[in-house]
Amino acid sequence: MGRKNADLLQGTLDLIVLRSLAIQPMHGWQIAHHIQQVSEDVFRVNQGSLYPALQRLVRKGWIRAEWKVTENNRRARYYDLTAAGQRRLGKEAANWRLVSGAVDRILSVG
Amino acid sequence: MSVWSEARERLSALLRRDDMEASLADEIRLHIELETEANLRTGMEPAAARREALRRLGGVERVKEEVRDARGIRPLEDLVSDVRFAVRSLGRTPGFAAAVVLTLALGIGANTAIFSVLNGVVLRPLDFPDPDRLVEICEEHESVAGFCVASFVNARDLGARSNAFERIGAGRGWPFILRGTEGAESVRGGLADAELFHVFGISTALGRTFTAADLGPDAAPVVILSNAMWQTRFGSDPDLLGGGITIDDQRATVVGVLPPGVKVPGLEAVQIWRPIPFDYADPANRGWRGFWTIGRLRPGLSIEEGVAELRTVAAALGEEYPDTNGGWGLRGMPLHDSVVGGSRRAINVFMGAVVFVLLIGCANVANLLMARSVRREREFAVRRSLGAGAGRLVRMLLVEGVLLAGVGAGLGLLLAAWGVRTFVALAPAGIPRVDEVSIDGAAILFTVGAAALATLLFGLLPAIRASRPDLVSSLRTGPERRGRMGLGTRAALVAGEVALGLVLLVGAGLLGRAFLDVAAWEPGFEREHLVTFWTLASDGKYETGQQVVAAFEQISAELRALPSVVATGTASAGPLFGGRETIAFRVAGSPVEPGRMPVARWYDQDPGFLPAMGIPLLEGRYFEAADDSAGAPVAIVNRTLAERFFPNGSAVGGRIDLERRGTVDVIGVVEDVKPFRPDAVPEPEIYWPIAQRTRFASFFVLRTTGDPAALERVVRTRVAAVAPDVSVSGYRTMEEAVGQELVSPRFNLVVLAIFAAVALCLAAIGIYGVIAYNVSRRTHEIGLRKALGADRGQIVAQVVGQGLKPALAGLAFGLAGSVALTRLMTGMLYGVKPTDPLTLITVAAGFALIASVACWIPARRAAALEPMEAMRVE
Repeated sequence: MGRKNADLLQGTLDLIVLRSLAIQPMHGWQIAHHIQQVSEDVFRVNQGSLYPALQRLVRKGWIRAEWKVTENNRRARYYDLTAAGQRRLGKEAANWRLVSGAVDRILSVG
Repeated sequence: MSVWSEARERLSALLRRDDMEASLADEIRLHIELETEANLRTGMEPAAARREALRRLGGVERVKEEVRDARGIRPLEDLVSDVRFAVRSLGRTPGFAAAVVLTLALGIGANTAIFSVLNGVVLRPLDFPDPDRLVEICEEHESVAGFCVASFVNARDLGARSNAFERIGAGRGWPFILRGTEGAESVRGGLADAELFHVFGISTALGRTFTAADLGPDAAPVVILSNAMWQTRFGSDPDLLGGGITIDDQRATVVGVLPPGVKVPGLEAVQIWRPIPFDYADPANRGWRGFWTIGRLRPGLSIEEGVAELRTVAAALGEEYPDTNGGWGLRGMPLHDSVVGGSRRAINVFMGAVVFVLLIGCANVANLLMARSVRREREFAVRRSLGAGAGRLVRMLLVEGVLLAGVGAGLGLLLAAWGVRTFVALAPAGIPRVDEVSIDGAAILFTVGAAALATLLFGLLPAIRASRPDLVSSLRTGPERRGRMGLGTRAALVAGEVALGLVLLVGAGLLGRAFLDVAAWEPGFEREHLVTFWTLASDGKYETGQQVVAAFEQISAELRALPSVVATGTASAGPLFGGRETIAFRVAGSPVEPGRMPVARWYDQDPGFLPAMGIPLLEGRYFEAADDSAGAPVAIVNRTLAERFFPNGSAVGGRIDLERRGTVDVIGVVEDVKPFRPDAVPEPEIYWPIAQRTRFASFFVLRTTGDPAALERVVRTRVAAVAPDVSVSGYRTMEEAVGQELVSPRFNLVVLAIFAAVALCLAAIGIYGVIAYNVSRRTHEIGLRKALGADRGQIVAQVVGQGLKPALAGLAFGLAGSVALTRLMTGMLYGVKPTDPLTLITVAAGFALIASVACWIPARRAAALEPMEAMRVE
């Protein structure tokens, strides 16, 4: 597996996770399902790759984790966006629109 | 996101590692449960639902591993586990770990300590501006052979006429009597000309230095005080400047105070400086070569160029003043050499010892690590075949090496700190600048670097070997085949260690022998119950020398009246006390030209001196009271002079011409005093009565019945009572004098003995290590031999024999090396030959014995092996 490929995937996953958490704090399984539903099953990625991504985002300080009790009375680790994460999301989203817009234009030429 | 908060996050991740592991497990478990439940809701069978959940996650352990990686503390975690592993693995072989750490600690500690001292004493330049340009200047003549002296008048003329030297200054020690409210006290003073301080670039902290107008007998008396004197005696009183103090019963104005800690090299003890109060125009003063002279070269000139120019000036002075300067030459040497000169040989020997111990230490560490590594080759092959990368193995060994080197270096530095303090405390007063010694950073870096390098280099050897491709043969072959490799290298290392160790041991042995010789000094008179002290009559109180002699006689009578005093005497110098004064002479009537006359030492004495000392009279008579200024000039000579210059008859009745001191009748011959150094031969000596040639100072000797040290207070009060203007100082028993002479050889002996002991220990550890390893390597074979009927004695003999082979080779090389190297110590040995067979044989035999013991311990263990058990060992 090429390194660039992984980076691209990882960067995209980060953006999606940040955007998802901007709606409300969620635990891991909720994030996985939220992504799957919102993307209309386009991203059927390995759920396992979500947890390292969450760990990485915690390390960067963009999200924070907290153990809370779910509606069904289970202990779950909830993730929430930090202020730095908000800023990051803004930057990443703008960047994404720039790139995807450019790619769109290239594809639509000719 | 700042670097800092990320680092903090990682650090807390590392610290909360166990928490995080539990939390990670919980999180994944919850995910699987929720996913399984979701699957159940779609109608799956429970088992299938769970399987599907696990499939979509992609494997619990893999996810966990990826999350751990994402924490970003992976390398640290690995390091922690490597260190844990290294500690465990070293803990399994505590003997090995202790031997390596001990070797490193001893090597690093001893070497750093000694190197720090060397650096402080020898290598560091003097604390003066441009110290390289300071040159010690000595007038040369056979009558002052071995001394560096010059006259202050010549020093002035040399300075004035030289272009190569910016300045030339002269000074000397000169005791003063300082009179204060508590009475008279003899203080260490010095005389300086107007240049001396400027030569060194010393300026005063308060006031001024001397000028030409302060010199000579007619100048108003002034003094400069050392800072210590100003502080302790005068309470740092700034008003003292311009005020007066009383020295030698004369008021003198304090014109300056030196800065704290500033001392003139060679005259460090001087507390009060006076300008030279003598007449520069007096021819006798031109011929009085009792001054120490230092010049400052102009920048860019070599010492050779400067001294060559001074020689031409000296030759010109010789023509202008033939009476005092004819036949006198001149030499110069860098001041730095002269200041450290006496200690230089000893220090070079110590430096050599440092290198030897360092080499032995490194060889030992290499040896131990190689033995261990060969033993572990199989372990590494297994690890490799189980998938450990070569990098991982290297890192493991590296961590082990760093751990060993780190602990060894830490202990070594503690040892060094302690060693430097001990060295400074033990050092003889003669070693210059020893009070400035402290632990040296460069030394630490050097020794720790060398030791760490050896540790890592040899520690990594097995990793390098393990990366070779023939894993299979490593796994398959028995331990005895594997161990063959490197055995020759290690035997050579042991031989080298033993050789180096033997050289050090021989050096220490020779010093020990020399020390015993010196300490056993039998001067020819009884050393016990004898005390000497120095008396000085104040300049102002006594008009003539005869008055001083009368005062000395009064003191003698007073002291002889003490019940515990058996006899008293005075002399200008004697065995282990006083200076060395020489005079050219000839047997009256012999055809020796004045310029080629032989030289003898001379002392003036009172009639009591020779009997009080107990120096036996061989012929004629001792001095008597009648040998005074009214009587005919007489002299007593020692056996050496009598035998050499009166070979055909008795010296008694003969006459001797003394250079510029007239002719004397020889009235007696006494036995030689055996010189303190066993390698010195007695010199010709001439004694004459102080009453016929007076002086203002003298040593007293007292022969007592009890302990002479206990008499000091009584002696001081009695002298003060009968002669208040005579000061007493330097009260010292002959045994104390001998003790002080022994300080330096004892110190040399102790230092080298420490090195030799360290070397011996290390070499023994080295031999033991090799043999113990050999035995463990051949356990199987030894078992077989025992099973075939070999008895214990045969096994022991064989193992010891094998171990002794490299040791004996090392001893042979070491003996050859000793003969070559200990010659450099000749000057420290007081006449003991560097090839002293007794020392060489004793030391080599002792070393062989210790080597045998080092071999015998593992050999005995080998012999005790049960054959069946031994053969089962794989």
